[in-house]
Amino acid sequence: MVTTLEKTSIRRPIGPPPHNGNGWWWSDGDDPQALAVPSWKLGTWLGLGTLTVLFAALSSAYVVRIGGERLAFALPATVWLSTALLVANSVALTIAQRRLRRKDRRFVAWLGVAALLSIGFLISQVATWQTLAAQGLFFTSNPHSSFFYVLTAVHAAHVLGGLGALVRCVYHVRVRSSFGRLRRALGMTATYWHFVDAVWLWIVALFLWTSL
Amino acid sequence: METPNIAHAEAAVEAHHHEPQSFWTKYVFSQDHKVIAMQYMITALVMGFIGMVMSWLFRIQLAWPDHNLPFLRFLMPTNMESGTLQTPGYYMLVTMHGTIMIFFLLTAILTGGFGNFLIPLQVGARDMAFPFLNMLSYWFYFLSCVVVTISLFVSTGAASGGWTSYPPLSALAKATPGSGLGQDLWLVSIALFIVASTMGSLNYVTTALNMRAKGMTLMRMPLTVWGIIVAAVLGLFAFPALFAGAVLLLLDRHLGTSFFLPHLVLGGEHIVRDGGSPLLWQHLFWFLGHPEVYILILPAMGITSEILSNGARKPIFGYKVMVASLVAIAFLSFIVWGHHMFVSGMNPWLGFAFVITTLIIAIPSAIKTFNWLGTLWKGNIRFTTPMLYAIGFISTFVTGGLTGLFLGNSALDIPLHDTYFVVAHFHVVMGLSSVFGIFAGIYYWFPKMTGKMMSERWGKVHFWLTFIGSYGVFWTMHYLGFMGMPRRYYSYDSYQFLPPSMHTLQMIITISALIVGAAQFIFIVNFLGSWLRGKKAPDNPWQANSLEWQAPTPPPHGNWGPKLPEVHRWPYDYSVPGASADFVPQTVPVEVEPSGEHHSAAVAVNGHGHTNGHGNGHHA
Repeated sequence: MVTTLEKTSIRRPIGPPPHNGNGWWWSDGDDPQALAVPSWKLGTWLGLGTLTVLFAALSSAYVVRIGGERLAFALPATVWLSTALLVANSVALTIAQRRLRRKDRRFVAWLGVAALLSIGFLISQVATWQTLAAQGLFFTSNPHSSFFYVLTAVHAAHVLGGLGALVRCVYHVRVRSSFGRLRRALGMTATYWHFVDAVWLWIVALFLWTSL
Repeated sequence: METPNIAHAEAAVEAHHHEPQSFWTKYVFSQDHKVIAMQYMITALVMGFIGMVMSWLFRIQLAWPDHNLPFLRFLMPTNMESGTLQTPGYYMLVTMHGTIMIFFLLTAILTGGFGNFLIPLQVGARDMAFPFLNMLSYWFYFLSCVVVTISLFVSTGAASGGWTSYPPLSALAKATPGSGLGQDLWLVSIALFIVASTMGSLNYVTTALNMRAKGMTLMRMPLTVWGIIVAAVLGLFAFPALFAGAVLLLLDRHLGTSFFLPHLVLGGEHIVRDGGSPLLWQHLFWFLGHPEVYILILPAMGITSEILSNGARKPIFGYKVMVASLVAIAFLSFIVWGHHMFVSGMNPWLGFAFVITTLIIAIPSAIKTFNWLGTLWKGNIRFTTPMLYAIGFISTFVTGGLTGLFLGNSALDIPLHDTYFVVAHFHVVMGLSSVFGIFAGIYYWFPKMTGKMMSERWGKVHFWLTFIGSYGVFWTMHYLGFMGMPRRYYSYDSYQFLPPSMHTLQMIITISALIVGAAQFIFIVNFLGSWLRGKKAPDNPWQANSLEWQAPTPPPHGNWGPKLPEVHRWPYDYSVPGASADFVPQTVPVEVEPSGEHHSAAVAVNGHGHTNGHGNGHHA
């Protein structure tokens, strides 16, 4: 049963007009169900926002704690090796994504390259820590070394998480997931890795800055 | 890129073919947002009950310091040996009361409980954007509750350095008994809680932004959804600071670093640390701590707005400004944390900046209050239990907000800091207000969650006892604060400046607290009794407009049956002149007459299906 009311009486004194629920800051247009960004991308970016605050909190704690004191040791040369490996890792993942977009099966090889580069990074990290330890710089030696170990260790934990994400992509290849699913998995993985690589550059820049 | 339509279609198919059948996947490791919501809600209520019992024990100590109540030993086997609460036990109870109430009750129930239940139902989705992550969120929360509960039973006692866990008290195992294993477990449980909260918040924001039904524009979303997702964004960007702090504090405790520990002498023994800053912890803690109180209040504001509009049978006053003020409060909450540290030592100019940012929060808060009163103004108010709690929310929010103006001003905060005035302020504005929002929400959505009505009569008894009793507790506390009575003391017997009348006030507070506590048993019986053998609830008992009331009661797996709802209007079309009922659900189409100078609309009220709420249980 449908009752149609007299049209003259339907005036709404308060609130936006019922037939036009356009946004205030932005309009949703005719297709209001979703933003232009797919959910997995939105979720990934929000998650990376959280991680950004984590690293920002640790970094600002470092800056506050040292109170303008200069870095007391030289960064080991392996830091530069680590940097190169992670930059290469980002490049490899970008290539893998492009290959996948062109439906080129060889993208899997680039996933392997990215994984090898990140394992190389972890080895280089261990070497960095050993170099510092050999110089007598341990976890508790001074605030610089404490924060260097903390920041690089928290970062390394995220590198391990990234390796897990790469394994998940390979798993999707193995079980012959759909193209869309594969693209989504690789898209999330690549975005995450670019973030982890950018955090590494930030950490290096931070310690270069405090050694000025 | 997948289009949302395909996603919805897939979900529809899944809803029909993949409804979990086994007990374990249906009720325990469920990925259904409604089951997860109930899991969150019940776990949080149990934790809140524990937190409330703790408050009775230390309130008894404060009112009758020489009490001898051996029967309380069954609640507190250690630290209560002679029937009197001992000092370490007192500090442990105060610390754990704060921790449990803020994180494990209020944060969990508002975002995890209401967020999970309401967001998909109110935006017209079948479930959360990431159901697996959602399940994981609950189980991380559950784990954090287990860890914090275990910490109550370790031989040295639970953490007792305050819910803020300031170092050096929290950093040195020998500082107090609770600074041992109890403090470690505290830090671990908070870290787990942060992981849980982050996974949940990702879901709430993504679902609300990306899973809306056709026609559900952002500006047609109920204010509940706005309140919860703004709080979720706060959680995403504030909690990591505490996570970082917790990691550093654990390292200070166990690996000998000096992040927060300066060189100290403890019991004649030199602590081999150097140069750490206890203030650094305070900055990291309060960078979370202040947004955290808004994580508790914003969802409660949303719930209140929703219920006030429904109970007053009027559109919410100033919808867009309500949304804007939620966002403004959220933004400001990130730049006011220093007001917790006015007496910790800071540059007066920095303090001045924090005073300004803090007082600015009064503007969006006052706008919201004005709009709530505007919504009630000349409304055809139905004083149902949820409505009473929503009105109670306005009362406590205004009372607590006004004392916030005193404390936000550093010149006044210096004498009032760490007195009972502060305890009264934050309990009223953040504790009571969000608890009132939660009760309003439980009474309001209980019929949709369980398919049963709660008893209105006992609900009202519960409300009046809680409302009057709470004011008995916290109104009185303000006077103690003016007397200069410091907080966190075990006993006040040896302070000459405190007049004997203080004891009378302490007793009034404790008796009121016990009355409020007793009233909660009425709630528990009403909640469980109604669930088991309550009156069957109609689909739309409150004659409300938002989408969840157009779903079957209780909503099935997938929420909407084969067809998703379509939204044609905002959720506050109450008392539309000329409409046949005093509410027009969001699913009712609007026919626009294209001809004529005045574009007038005709409302077609669909009389069948779920749109017009056959259960008019609350007609006058």
